[in-house]
Amino acid sequence: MLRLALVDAYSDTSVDTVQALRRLRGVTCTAVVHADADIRQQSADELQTVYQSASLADLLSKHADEFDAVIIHGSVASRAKQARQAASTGKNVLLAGPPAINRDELQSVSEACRAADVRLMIASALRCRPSIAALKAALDSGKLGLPGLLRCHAWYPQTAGEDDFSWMSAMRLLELAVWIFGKSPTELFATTNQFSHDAAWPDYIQLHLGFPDHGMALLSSATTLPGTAAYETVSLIGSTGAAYADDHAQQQLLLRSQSTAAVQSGERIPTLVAQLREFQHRVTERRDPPGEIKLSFAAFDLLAAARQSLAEKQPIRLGK
Amino acid sequence: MPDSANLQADRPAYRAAAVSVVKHDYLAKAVAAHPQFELVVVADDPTVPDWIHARNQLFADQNRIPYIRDVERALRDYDIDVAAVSSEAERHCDLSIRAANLGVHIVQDKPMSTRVSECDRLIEAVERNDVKFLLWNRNLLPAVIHATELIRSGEIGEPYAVHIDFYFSKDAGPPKGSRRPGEPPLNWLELQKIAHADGSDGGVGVEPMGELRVEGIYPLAYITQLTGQAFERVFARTAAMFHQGHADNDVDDLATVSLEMTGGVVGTLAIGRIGAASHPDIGEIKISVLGRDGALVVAEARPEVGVYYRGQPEKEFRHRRVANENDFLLMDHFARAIETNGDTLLNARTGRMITATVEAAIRSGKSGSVEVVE
Repeated sequence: MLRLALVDAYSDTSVDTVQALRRLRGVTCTAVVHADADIRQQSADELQTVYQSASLADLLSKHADEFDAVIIHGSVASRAKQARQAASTGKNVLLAGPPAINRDELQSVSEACRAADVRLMIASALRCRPSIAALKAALDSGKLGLPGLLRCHAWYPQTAGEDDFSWMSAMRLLELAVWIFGKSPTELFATTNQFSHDAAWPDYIQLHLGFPDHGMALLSSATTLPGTAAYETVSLIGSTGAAYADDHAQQQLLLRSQSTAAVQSGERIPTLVAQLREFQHRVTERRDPPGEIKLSFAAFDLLAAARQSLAEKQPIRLGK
Repeated sequence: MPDSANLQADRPAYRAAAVSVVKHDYLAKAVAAHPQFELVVVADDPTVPDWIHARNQLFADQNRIPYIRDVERALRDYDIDVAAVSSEAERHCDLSIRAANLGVHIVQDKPMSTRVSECDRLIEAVERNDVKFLLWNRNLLPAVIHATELIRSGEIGEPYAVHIDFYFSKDAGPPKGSRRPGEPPLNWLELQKIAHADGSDGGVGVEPMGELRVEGIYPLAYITQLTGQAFERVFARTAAMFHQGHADNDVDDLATVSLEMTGGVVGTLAIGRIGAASHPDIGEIKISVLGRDGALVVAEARPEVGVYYRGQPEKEFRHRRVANENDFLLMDHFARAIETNGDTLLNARTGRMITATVEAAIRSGKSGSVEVVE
């Protein structure tokens, strides 16, 4: 049995985790960590956990024997520190992406996990999403031929995040692009739009990538949607075929007396199940896929190139 | 957006000539179908090759009108008000200029030209002769009208970013990699002549044209209509990914373009002739707009209906567009522009700007640099 501690997750993540755990054998959640007592209690109730703490350090000091691994959510700025803490006490680490605020922080996590001989998995909600996984499977099977044009939109509500959220979102898209093409781009051109003058980071980031063998990608990250719903969509044109995740966000119609609304048939639970199942297998089999951490490092490098492109207002040629 | 049809128009108001009907003949048919226009003659130059004469003659016969091998004489003798120009792209502007010089209004097929200098000549002729010019477009498709109305009514606030997916899934000759060693490169014009059979010969002409040149006007015209902004700088990646003819003639069948516009608006375009295997219908065409107060994702194909049946031919589209009045509405709009001396939906200056944007994107695809729209 793999026993998990859920760290700094919001209550909706806890609800989803309950649903995901019901679909898995050999995985359970035994502890929750959150600084906010109400959220912590709510999560503990949802997950029916026995152990809870206000901080990971506290949980590790008091109940270290009650869990084998941590799932770290919370602010990106705190993830690396918590991952190192967990690794140093022999806990396997499932780190929500983006895993850290910069390359060096991620490097330190990687080294800590290697030194402790624990597994480190960087969770990608995009890679594990059923529609995107199906797209990648079609590509890997050769049905789509060579990847030609990847287009991704990731648009979020204005309240979605912390500082630099749009860059962090862009990083997830860059990681996805490298994963799909199976290689790093050779060219990058970035454009942004910023009109929320109280924010120091862009409202919108547009990334244009060129890959070897004529591949190309258009990625857009926005943090300006009203309401609470996010919009993420992906399509891939290959040399012999194409795959389109639904551009209309898997919406269904809700017809009511006063208005018609669109409601989403989500992929959240299957995405989380896929993540947890993969993590369980890695821990059980004691394996770390070598390419995964490289994806995150590549994304950090591309993020730096994007900032350079913005400053220079020109495309950046990247190392081969 | 256009109003409903002019109910007073119980007889044709304008006499029209089809000035070269080389490509698929949707433009000339659209002119002929509108009640305010009467197509009375087909015209072309006497020196054009025999295959062009043959196509012109066939269209004339089908419409029971004469074919005159002298453009100027046809426009004068038949008292023509409107020329519908649908020749090879490299002759578009020249034919339109000659019509303008005779005081004839012009509806011209896309692309506007393969050369920006030709667009400049046309602008001069249209403005000097005070005639109306409409570059054919898809801006009055139901979904595009809807998107425009939503934006103009302020539903998503001021648009700040636009993305268009514009993929046509028709094949364009043999697939890339099919040419055997020792075989000569495919001839562009011959390929286009063959493609005429299924109406996918939009790039007909001696000069090879990639998808950016052939179809780029459509999504770029969407963007100008949706944002009201002009293109300033572009960065593009281009490739011949799918078709041997495109590879042999060094033109794109897949491209991505980053767009920087006036007013700080930015955008991207994904465009390609991606092959019939890559989509069950005519292609994936989507409009995505981010505004300061919301966003819009529009499927250009809607409204549509799905039709499936036993024995359905493999290449027959399963989903068919319905309630598409683009042809009628464009001609209706053009008639009103003439009547009211108003501007047209896609005039020569905007067409020129779009042509310059396409040319800048093609240059960028080759240079790897950001190019200024000149």
